[in-house]
Amino acid sequence: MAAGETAADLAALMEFEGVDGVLAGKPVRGLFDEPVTVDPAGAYGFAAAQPQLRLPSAGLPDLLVDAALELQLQGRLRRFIVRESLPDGTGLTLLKLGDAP
Amino acid sequence: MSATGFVDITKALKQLLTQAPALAGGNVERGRFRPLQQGQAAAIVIAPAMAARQPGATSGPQHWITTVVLELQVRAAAGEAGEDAMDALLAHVYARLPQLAALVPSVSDPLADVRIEWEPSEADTSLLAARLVFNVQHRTAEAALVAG
Repeated sequence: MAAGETAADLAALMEFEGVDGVLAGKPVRGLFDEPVTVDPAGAYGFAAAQPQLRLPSAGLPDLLVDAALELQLQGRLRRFIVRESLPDGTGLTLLKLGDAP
Repeated sequence: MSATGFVDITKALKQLLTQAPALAGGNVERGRFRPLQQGQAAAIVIAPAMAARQPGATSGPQHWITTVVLELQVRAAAGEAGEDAMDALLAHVYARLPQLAALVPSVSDPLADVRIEWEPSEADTSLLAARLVFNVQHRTAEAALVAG
């Protein structure tokens, strides 16, 4: 999140750019992003997509690792699992995602 | 000019690893400067690391120990552990290495010394690299680096 951005700013942004999904059986709405980064493992590294969802922390369970997340992205359903849940202390949580088995 | 004995070895290794059925989906390269691309599940990079001529007579064939590094990379499918995906590739690669001596007549021992180092990603357990480092004993001609 950019410096100074708040949950209120995010709420406004989500009106236009948010995606709908189901997290651990409950409906959620958040901002999805999937940057490609290089994981440095080994001598050469791996280019890898890093899907992630930013959403309000309110109402989220404490333990989200391995929870199932379904998102409607560009007209199709994608299934993920939560790899990491990172509450940022300002009312927002960043979920780092992996493809579901 | 003929290739040196070192390049004979790395070329032969590429041939061994890509002969049917090709390992790592045929993604076998001699040297590389970029990361494994998205959509590629596995790759092998072949690179010579060091060569040392053995002490002995300066006339006649020269005996060398050349250290070769095979960098193996796997990107496991969703739900599969990186370690399991690597395990299969490692076993297949290792099983082909003894054939190096048959491909390169100047090689006397293709696996004089072997070391395996695993390097998992710290962030993503589906990504795993392993480095297979081994010494090849081979000969070059007198006062030359071409195979002898």
